[in-house]
Amino acid sequence: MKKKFWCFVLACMLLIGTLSGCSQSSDNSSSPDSSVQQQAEESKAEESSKADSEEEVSTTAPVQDELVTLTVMKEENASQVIKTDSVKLQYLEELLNIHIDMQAVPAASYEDKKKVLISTDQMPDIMKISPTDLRSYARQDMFVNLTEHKDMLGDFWPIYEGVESMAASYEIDGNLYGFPILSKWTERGGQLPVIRTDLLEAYDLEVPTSFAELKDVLAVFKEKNPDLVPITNRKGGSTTSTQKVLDCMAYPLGSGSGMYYDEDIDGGRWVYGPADEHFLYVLSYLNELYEAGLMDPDYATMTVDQWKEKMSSGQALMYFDNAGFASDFNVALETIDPSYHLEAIPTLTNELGQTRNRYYDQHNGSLYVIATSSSNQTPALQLMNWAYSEEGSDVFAYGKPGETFDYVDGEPVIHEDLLVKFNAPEYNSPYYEIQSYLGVGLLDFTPYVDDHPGVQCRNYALSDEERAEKEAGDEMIATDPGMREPVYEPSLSEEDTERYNELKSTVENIVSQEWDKYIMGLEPIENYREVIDRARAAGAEEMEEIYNTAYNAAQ
Amino acid sequence: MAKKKMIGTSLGGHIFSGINAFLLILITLITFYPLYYVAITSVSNGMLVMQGKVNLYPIGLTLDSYRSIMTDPQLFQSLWNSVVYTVLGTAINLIMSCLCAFPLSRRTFSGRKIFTGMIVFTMFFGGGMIPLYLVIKELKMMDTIWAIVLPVAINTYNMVIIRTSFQSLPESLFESAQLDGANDFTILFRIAIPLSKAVLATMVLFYAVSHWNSYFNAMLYLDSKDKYPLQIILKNKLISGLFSEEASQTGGSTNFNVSDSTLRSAIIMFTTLPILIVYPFVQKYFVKGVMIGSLKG
Amino acid sequence: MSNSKGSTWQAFRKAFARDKYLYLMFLLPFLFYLIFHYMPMYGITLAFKDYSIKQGIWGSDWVGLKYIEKFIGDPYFWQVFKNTIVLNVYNLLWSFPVPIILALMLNEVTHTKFKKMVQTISYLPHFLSVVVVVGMLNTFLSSNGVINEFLGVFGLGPYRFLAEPKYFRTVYIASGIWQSAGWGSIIYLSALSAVEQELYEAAQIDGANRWQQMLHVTLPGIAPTITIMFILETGNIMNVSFQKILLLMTSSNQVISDVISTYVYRIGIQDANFSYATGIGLFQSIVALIFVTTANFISRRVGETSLW
Repeated sequence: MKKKFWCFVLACMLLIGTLSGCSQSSDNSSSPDSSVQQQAEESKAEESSKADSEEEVSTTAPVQDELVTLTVMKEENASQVIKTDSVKLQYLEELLNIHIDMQAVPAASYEDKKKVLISTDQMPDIMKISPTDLRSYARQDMFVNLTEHKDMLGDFWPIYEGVESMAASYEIDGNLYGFPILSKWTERGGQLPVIRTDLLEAYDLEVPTSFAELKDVLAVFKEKNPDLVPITNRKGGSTTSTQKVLDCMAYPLGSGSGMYYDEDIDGGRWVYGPADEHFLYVLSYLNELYEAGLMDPDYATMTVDQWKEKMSSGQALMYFDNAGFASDFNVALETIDPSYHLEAIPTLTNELGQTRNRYYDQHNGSLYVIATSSSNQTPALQLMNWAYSEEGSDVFAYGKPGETFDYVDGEPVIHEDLLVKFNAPEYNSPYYEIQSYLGVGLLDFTPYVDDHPGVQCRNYALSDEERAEKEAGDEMIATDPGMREPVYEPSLSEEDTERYNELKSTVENIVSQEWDKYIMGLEPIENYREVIDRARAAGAEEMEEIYNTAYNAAQ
Repeated sequence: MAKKKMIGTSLGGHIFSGINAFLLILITLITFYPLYYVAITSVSNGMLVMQGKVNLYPIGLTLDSYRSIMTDPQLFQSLWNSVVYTVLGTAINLIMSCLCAFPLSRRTFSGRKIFTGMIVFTMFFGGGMIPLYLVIKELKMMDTIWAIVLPVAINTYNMVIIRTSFQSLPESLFESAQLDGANDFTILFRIAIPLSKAVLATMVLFYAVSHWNSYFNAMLYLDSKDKYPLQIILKNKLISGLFSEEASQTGGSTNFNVSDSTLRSAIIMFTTLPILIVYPFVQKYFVKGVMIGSLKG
Repeated sequence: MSNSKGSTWQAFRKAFARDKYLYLMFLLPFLFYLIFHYMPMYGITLAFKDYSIKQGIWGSDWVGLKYIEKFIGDPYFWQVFKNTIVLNVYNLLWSFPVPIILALMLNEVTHTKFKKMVQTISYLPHFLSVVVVVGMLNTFLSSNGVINEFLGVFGLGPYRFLAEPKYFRTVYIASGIWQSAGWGSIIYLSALSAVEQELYEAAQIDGANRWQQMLHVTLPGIAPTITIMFILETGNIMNVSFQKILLLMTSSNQVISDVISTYVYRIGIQDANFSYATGIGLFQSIVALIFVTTANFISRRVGETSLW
């Protein structure tokens, strides 16, 4: 009894203690803090103007007089641990007197946390966001306007402007509010046909060059291996499997899976694929595959796990997706039979005679923004700008000069002992482990990405033959004439954004329910025209118009 | 459906028990296999699992996937955090829920209806994520343990169950205690709680498991990695396979001794094990409760 | 007038004096609900405002019924509304009785070890995350999965359980029962433990067999718990396992599987339109409240137990 009573008293005290603590604090903060903020901003502006007059265009490292702490928030991918004491972060503190307090939020929850922090005006100093966030929040004065500080951003700005048509996509009412994550050097990749080339040889087949030939090849595969699945697919991160199939294949087949830029229609314009005539080619091709038993019978419900299982056990013979996966699957396939081999093949020609496909955007598509509520805007701007400079980007990509890398003929070269170290068997993935140790790469805080250390580390253990093959594969992708550069979406006005989003959800609901009926052959393809009409009437037409008007205005 | 007893009680009773046992065994098998599958895949070779070869027993026995979890530098800190949050959180839950349920269970308590109505209302209406976040910030609880345990101090659902159990106690017990000069605190702690052990044990289990499994509040209200509970660390490994579009584009090849599915299985085993260990201690209260029921009163 | 006022005051003071310890007890829970539930409640006003972050919830401009009208006028909203209700009514009908039956079955087991084992195993699936459960469903229900191979022996199928809309509800509800029936039975088992043993003895003396004892002693003994659980469940009429639906949803079964929460997620959260999401949330709350109030009312009329 006594014990319980004391427990209770303790609990009461605890609660009352915290409550009284809070009531005080709420008094403090109930006064509008905007004035304080304004003051801070004004003083910042003064400082910054001072800073530029002194430094002009900064090419030297922005060393701070006093230790400045900047909170940086980004998502942490399970593949690569973000270390709060990585080589890079330690060196930044040593060199610039800037301590970076890394808040690595698990990727699975980043979306939620980000939205709550922005919506409650509690952002960290620097934060990673998506272009969608940029468009939703920039007009609400959440992010520092970089265009106003252009004179401070001498290293960043030329590089940003060097990326064709990016400005038209990212600038909102003519202002840039975030630092786009750009690529200094990354491997080229895309969603390509990846096929078991050993079977092509075994059955004495030519490498298909068109979708029609591909169908014949798959038919032979099926005939020889009736129990196996000729072509399979996976589910997307946040989309359905059918959507993923279309995302990978609709453009090469002559249409698009959503709003996309079509160079071959009217000399180039934005088209909402599923509500366009050409989409019939896509559906009818997939339907032919399905009816002939060439497509995975479970294509509409595939998961990532099932996909991996099928591809790495040899149960499925082809996929049309990220070419980079092939090397992973080959490791698994070789354990079954050393001859099994998946390889990407060049872009296929479609029924319209077009040979087309797209690269992944070489630039990541996300941005780092600085919060308007931050009290360290100047150092944050300086740090971000420096990250795009020659010296800075090397630190952000290779770590500490003299310790993890050296300049050889002016080029940064990673120390070989690190390559050896991370290829040791206790490391699961040399690529991610070295990046995690250094604190570099796309999956860490890196605004201007240079993938050399990771790729070098990954390829270090390969035999000459394997490396030659890998390089030939990369070369094929990089030089494939059918591959086209991605086109950036136009930046829309506030009104248009709202209208567009509204129409989009209505139209998507109309079309996405229909696709599988046609692919599975439950409805004759011709009937899809009626769906197109409905979707166009419900707003697809207006959506295209909004995009094209904005796009043409920006060009 | 009341079938008249034409058969003798003992024979009928045996048939009844037999059918009952048979059905239960069936249910057990259906629920057991998937879990067994998780267990065997967690100790099998990742590549063989991916190729669908592991079905009935582990193949290519290895502890690599557990090793891969263990290498996380954050693991033991987060495990300890989870234990602290669960123990403290459950203690607060239990005290607060009883303090809330007891007055509401008393028919004599004036204002009982108003308060019950007020509480039930909160089951359906809430301000949403943004204002709650701001309230917790104003309370200066951000990035502290209090943000994890206090906003969920009472689960109305569970509180109502405790209240129902208190209500089912005979009123005469309380009246006689009152005549002996006991106040309401004494009645709650000396009569009501001891007599509701079975339900409270269940609540310990419910509350503890929900603390153990929760990660959303921690993710929202905690900023420091060293305060994260186990679930945040593991959840990321668990889901990442599905959501890491970004990682997949860069395509760093990985070693296949540990695959997504073996890692996932190992994580499930790792997080479920503590609950499996604690469960029997709680279980005895409501299994034994049936037998000691006659001692009550 | 003043007289009656005075007497009310007196009655109140008397009640307070009598219940002072109960009030003291209730103080902390009261503060809890006030701070963590009622203080944030001003957020509901977002449904009628255009949320502007810098101005805060209070400072944002009123827009009246703009967002309410927006979804009420959207035919697709009513499609997902219907899907939500139908899914949950079926779910209630099928999922609610199973834990009770399981608890009753367990209660009839006299062999303690067997009982413990069954119990322990049956609650285990509760700890599996949705991702894992859906992963298993995908494996077992695929065109070459265990279920289709089994049915194939009888010349049936293969069925596209996951792709076709007509199977969606069955798959969702059955897997839900599999996952949570054991866990749900815990509450009934603990209620069963409170049933007086003498009642069984008395029934045995009256010559009741096991079935009759279950019907006339056990069930009435746990009836209050069943009623309360049922009322609470009706309050969940608008809630679904959001993540599970999201993982099970394909474009082919979207017609049936799309529910309010997935719809809100797509248009509200992804586009960061909190006002719209709050509006729909408010609507859901009201519908749920109507259901619970009705269930509570009926239960109070028919039986003795009620939530309030």
